[in-house]
Amino acid sequence: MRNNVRNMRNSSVLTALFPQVRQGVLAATLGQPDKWWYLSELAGRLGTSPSSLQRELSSLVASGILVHRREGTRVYFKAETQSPVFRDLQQLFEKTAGLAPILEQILEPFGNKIQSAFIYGSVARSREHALSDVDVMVIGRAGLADLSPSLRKAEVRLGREVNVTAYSPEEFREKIRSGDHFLAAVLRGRKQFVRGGQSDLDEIVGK
Amino acid sequence: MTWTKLLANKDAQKHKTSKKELDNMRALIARDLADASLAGLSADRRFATAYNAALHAANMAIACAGYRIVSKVGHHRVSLESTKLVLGKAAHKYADYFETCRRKRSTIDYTFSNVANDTEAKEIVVQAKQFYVEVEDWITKNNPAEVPSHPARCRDTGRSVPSECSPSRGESCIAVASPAPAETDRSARTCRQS
Repeated sequence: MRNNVRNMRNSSVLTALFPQVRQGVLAATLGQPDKWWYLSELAGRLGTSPSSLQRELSSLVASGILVHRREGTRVYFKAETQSPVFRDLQQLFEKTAGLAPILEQILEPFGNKIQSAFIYGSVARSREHALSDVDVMVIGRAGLADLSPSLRKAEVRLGREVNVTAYSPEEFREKIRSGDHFLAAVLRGRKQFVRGGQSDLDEIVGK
Repeated sequence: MTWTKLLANKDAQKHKTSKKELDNMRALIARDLADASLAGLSADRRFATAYNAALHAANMAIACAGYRIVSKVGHHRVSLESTKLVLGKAAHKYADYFETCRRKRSTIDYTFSNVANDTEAKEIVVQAKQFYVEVEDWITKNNPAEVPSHPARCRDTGRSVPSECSPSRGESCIAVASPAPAETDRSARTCRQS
């Protein structure tokens, strides 16, 4: 319920700030900032026609938020990562239309079967490239078999692979206590929680 | 995805299977499921071995439908996805799950160690066994000529395996844990909680 409210609030933030088509263009380009989008590819992703994107794209290129390049008759667009507002805009979309809200939605039906879930790795550190997989750790009673159908749907929405590592709370705790290198590195690194928070994770570990 | 497209892309070929071929596959599955349950192996190795069993089960179903997936880049993904065409809706959850496992297994075999954990290794053994039961049930209903002439019997319950002895959720039948087909006493299988 709390997650639902958060998503609704986030969605209304974007709706208040940007028209719908611009939201879609920015979510796609800022979500994969190294990717060059061909016009019809972007239109297909957003479920609209290429002609309806032309004005938005021209405006975003003119303002320096996107850059474009020509290859023959084709025009490609991508986020201008050198723009002074790039990181701020990207963070805004990460918090609203980005990975975490989509994963929150996907995991919500599992309720108490998931005690903690978070994104880790290059995406959590904001060091991803266009094709980076999204690494997600899930701790609880929901296994990969339970999660996989929802994950496939999330991958379609995100346009990238989502790789989950699932632990029972007992095994997670045991591995932390025995000094597992992989988990120690994950816990030291940056995390974006999509279920629970640091206190829930500490509780599982027994801190 | 359709068989027509898979044939056109040379991802699949028409294929006529035989009881001998299926029994060989059954033996591979039996071996892999038995090995995947060995506590002394690493979680990675148990995971990858159980995944192989699931892949063989998928290829069994595909063979009974009259096709064979061509061995080339991405053929595991095609095999798993094609089970949806053969088994229908019942296979969707397994195809999605084993696609997740396919990526993990690829990392295990070619890139990193300590990728799978114990939770995941135990789960895939249960899932692979359930999927195999699903495939054998489908073969029994749709290709009775390929079903063993002396139906397997569970040593514990006396019921035929796997159709009558399908495990409930959280359990798994190890009826498939038998040696090579020629040596197999199919009347002496067993069911056990996983």
